[in-house]
Amino acid sequence: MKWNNSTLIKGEPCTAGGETQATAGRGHLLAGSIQVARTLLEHDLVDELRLMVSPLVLARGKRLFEDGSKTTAMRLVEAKPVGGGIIILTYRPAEK
Amino acid sequence: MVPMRKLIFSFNITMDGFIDHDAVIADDELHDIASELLSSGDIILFGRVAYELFAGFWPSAPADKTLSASVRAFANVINDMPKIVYSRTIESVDWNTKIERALDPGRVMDMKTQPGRNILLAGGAGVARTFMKYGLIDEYRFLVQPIMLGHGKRLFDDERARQDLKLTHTRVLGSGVVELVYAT
Repeated sequence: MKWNNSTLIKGEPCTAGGETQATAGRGHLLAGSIQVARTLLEHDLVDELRLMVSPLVLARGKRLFEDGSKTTAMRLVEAKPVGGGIIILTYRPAEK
Repeated sequence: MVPMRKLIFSFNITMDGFIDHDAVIADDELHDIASELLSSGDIILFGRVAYELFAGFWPSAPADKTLSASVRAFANVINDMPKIVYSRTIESVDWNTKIERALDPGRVMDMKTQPGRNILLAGGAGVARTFMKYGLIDEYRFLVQPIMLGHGKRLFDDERARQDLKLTHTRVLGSGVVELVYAT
């Protein structure tokens, strides 16, 4: 791994995420990977979810939210239109 | 030129994209918004399953004193409005309803060109997909519910042509429901 400040974690992201989350520091930002996001969601490791909702209906594509995961009540923190018909919806789990 | 009446599809959807009647936070504010929307129209369209769900509850709701004033006000609005149910199998209806045995897009287009107030499509998902397929919907009103449901039925579940929409209005409700209005 060559990119500055990167840590390679092999194995389950939930264990590693829990460990790094427990250490002192500022927020962790998950930048991508649907698979990593799903695993973190499934293990209650996501404290805040920001969805950018685009104004289009797609024919096909990848879904972030799969059928078959558990139910979590959320709290809306903010709904912010940012231009171009996009709105950012920020949620936190209701329990957190 | 008189603007054509709009065909509006309003529906509750969870933040992860599922449709589930039981996951909806149906508080007074949501009912007030629904009453306001119905009052902009003069006819409601249903598929059979959604129709039977509604017809099994709302006719007796105005007399139910355990319901809030907002819910009973909504009941009065919806009970008074003319309705169409699309169904091959339903045998008889009352509740101010006409049966259409098939969804003929030409007939819907005719209805849209006649003078009148908005046409409101109340669901469910199956009939809504048919309306989408024929390009009959002028406005979507998503009521995004603050729940990650994790499983269930989806509205957008089949292949379709990409469709760009225009976000025309947003509103945040006290419950954390976000109303997103899109024009096609």
